[in-house]
Amino acid sequence: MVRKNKNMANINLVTEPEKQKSKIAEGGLAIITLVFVLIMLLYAGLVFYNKTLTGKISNVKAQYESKYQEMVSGESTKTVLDFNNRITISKESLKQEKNMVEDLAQIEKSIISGVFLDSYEYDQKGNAITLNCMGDNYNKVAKQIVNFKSNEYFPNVTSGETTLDKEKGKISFKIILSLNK
Amino acid sequence: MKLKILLPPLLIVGIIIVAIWMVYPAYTNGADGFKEKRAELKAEEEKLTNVENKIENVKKLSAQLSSITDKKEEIVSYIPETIKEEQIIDNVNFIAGEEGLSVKNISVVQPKAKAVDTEMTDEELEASGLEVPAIKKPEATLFDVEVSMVGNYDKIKNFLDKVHRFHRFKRFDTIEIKKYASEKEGDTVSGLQLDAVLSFNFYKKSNKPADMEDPVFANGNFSGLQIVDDIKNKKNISMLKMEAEQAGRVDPFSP
Repeated sequence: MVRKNKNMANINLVTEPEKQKSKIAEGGLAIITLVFVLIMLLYAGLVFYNKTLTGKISNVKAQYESKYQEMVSGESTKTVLDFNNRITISKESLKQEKNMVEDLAQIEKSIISGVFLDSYEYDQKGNAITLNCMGDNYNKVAKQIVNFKSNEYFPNVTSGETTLDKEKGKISFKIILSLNK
Repeated sequence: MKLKILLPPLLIVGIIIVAIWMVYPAYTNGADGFKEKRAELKAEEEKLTNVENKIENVKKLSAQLSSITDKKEEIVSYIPETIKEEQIIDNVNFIAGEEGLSVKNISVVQPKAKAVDTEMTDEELEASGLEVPAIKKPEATLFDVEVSMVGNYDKIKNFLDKVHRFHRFKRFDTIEIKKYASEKEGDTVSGLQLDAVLSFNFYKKSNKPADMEDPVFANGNFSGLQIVDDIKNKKNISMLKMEAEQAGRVDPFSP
């Protein structure tokens, strides 16, 4: 009886873990298979979605190209841009304009008695005025230079060649007046 | 039974191979993977939205332009579309006459055309490695007008003032005022002689496709319209309008 019981116990001990192992192995295989299938599905999904994206990109690009052409070649765009360019040019141009009368008024203010102008030359590039003056004597010449130097409108005053005009009995002298920018 | 044992490791190897060699490159490969395509689509959509916004802005700007036709006329009068040299000659002559100056010369020097276009194209600029300007600044065409007249100091001063105030851009490049005494017999004009070179300009409307990146399209409003009022305040002498005279002569050589 004892022997029989022993045999029964042996059978039970061998068969139970075998079945469990088999079940675990089957479960594991199923999970791995499922992961494999999911990976393959993911790949297929990516490939498919990539193609959809390519289609969408082409569509958006075509729309962009059409709108871009409408924009850059449209008459209203050109008119708007032309007007805006004219505003930009006008701003620059207005800055470049200068009323020459102001320069003359400043010279009038600085000329002393006994001196008069023989010629006036303005040069926009050099931003300077060259005056050829006639003075009664050298004292007047010196005083005239001082008067121009004391006028803040002319930041730099340079005296030039001085000659005696025997015919007129005057001193001819040159003064270069720099102008503020 | 053997298959059952081999299958799991084979599947694991398969999963690794598929993941490394197929799924990851399909997701991102630096060129046309899913990730790159998605970024490209986003960028293209942004570009489209950008151009659509700019088209909207152009519509708003066009509507604004239609409501400020007077300002448009002011600007076009100040910076005309064509050289309009006849307008300059007529106006300078009119002002000189008004001031009692004796006109000796009014000459328009036509702007010189470039013999060879030395400007590089954008592609050439890019290839040269030099910096490509973002937006080309609009430039008007300048041309010279030489004037010469005789009169007294006050008249010359008034002439210079009136020319400065007439409603078109001009810049005095050189001015020379000197004593004048006629050498011709019977010529009674004496006083001072004014010789001046003035720069005028014009800006031709471009027929080229517009530069979409121009800042004006970034918003639906013209900025800097204040300049029109500045011009109006400073340039208060209107340009005379020229109209063609009735013409037609049998002998064009007869005086």
